Amino acid sequence: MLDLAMIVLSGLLLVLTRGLLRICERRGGPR
Amino acid sequence: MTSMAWLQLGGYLASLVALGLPVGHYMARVYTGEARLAQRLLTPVERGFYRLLGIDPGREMGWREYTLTVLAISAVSLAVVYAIQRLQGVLPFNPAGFAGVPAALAFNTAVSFITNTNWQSYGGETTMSNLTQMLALTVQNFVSAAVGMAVLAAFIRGLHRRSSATLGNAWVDSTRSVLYILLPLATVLSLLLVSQGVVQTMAASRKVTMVEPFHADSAVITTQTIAVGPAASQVAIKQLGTNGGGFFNVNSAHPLENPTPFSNLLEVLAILLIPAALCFTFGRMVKDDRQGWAIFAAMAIVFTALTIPTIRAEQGGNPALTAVGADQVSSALQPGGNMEGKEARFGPVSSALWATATTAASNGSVNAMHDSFTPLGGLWPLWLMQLGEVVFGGVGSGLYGMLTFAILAVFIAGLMVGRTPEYLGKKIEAREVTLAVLIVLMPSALLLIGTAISVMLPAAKASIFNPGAHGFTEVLYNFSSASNNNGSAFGGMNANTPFFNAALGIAMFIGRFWIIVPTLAIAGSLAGKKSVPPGLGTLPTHTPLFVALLIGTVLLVGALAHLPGLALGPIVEHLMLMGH
Repeated sequence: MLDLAMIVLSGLLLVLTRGLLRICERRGGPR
Repeated sequence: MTSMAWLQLGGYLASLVALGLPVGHYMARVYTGEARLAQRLLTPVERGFYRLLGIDPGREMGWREYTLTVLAISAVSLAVVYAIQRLQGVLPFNPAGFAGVPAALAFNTAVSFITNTNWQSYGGETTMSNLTQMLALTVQNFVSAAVGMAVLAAFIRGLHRRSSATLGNAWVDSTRSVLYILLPLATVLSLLLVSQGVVQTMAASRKVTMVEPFHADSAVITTQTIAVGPAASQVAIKQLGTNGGGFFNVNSAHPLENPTPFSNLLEVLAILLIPAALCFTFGRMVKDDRQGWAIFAAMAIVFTALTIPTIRAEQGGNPALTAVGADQVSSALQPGGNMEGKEARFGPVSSALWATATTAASNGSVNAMHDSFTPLGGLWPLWLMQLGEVVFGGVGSGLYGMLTFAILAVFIAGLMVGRTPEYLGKKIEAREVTLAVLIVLMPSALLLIGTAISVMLPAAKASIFNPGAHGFTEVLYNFSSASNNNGSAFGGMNANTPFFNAALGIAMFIGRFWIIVPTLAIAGSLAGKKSVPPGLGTLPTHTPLFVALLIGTVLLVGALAHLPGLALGPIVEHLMLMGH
């Protein structure tokens, strides 16, 4: 059960990081 | 400070330059594909690796693809390290018969090692099998360091290339970091450490006859079981890769990780060698060595300025003990100073120098217990972490952090003189500054929010055994360490709880990857720009004026963000101790 929680937490962090990448693409990356 | 302390500090910095220059120039040749002798020897291995993974080493990547590749390497690493720990009980090379690592601790440790933090909520010799130590942890010591170095190589290319859509190939940069730089250096250092008595064996323990029998109740104990294992290979890369995770629980205070004054010198030099050398790599890669020297000078000045008061505080000793007549003066018979939590072999000077080196770099290995430092002796290492691990910092991450500060510094200078800010011929515009501010503020926000939550939450407060200011400093230190990917600890509190394992794990993850993403976005943005020739309004970035401006920016941001927290922790504790 705790394994599942840790896997979900890791997945969430990766998804959020991907979200940050998108934000950087829009705001920061080369046009 | 004693004359020996000055000599040690001066000798340390001189050795760092003497070793850092050739290593730095060599690394520049590696990243520009001009390390011909090494390539002749290692190209077959490198090509074999690319063929195995189906990688085209000649293909250049844009910043987005580069970032996704780096994230993919780290995500796979996270899964592998987690799985090995959980399954170590049924896997081979487990001579001590350890069970699988609990889930929350395995998550914390996996994040810790893939982010180059090496925060350890566990004691290595009582938790991890040899397989976990070697295949999970030591491998990540190389891989996570290589990821940091690759990101730096891409960032430097972003500064140097003109009107380019690409930053290099993340696979090639990370593979070469391991194969051409980290492995050869770690092999040499491992052998040197073995020559000093650091253990390297596949056995779990050795039974030895004690020098003096130990009387416990009616029993007389004459033998002792000493944990051993493949330590030298892990110790070498833990220092060179600014990882810091010890094979044994007490890290480099353990006589089998750091047995002699010479091993201590080797290890403390190895902590800052690559981060310092990368400054010279940067100068070489942008075809202006003076730029590298300027960044090195800024780092060395801040490092020295914060090391001196740390040594002074530890040599000064504990005023409460002086008040009751304890002799803490350095003499031929004793090292003097504050010796609580320190190895008698090293004394306060070597311990304080190590403490600032390990916190200036995002290394985190220790040869003394930082929690037992005097309040001011602990304050400076704590602040070195809070500055964002840019004073040398982690391998790669320290320099790309400092170059982000350089971008902010030219922006601030631009505001002051009303010109468009430029760095190395690249115009710094709103998008780069927005991302730079995100990079600079992210770790500070993380550690302050984490600390604030922890000192309010009952589940977290139960882990704090020291009441008052010192307990607060412990929490502040540990979140500063995790958020800035350092890994050292104020070990007086119990961090091996589900809350701290998860919270510190999240802090380490965000503190690493939420910096890498905007860093590579800046690199992509700069790479696409044209180079502007220096004009009358250009601020030269190799001069003492710029070095001062850069130092001012780093210290000002660090002071504004962290003085209130430090005032509640070590500063209050110092005042309480003085008034005792």
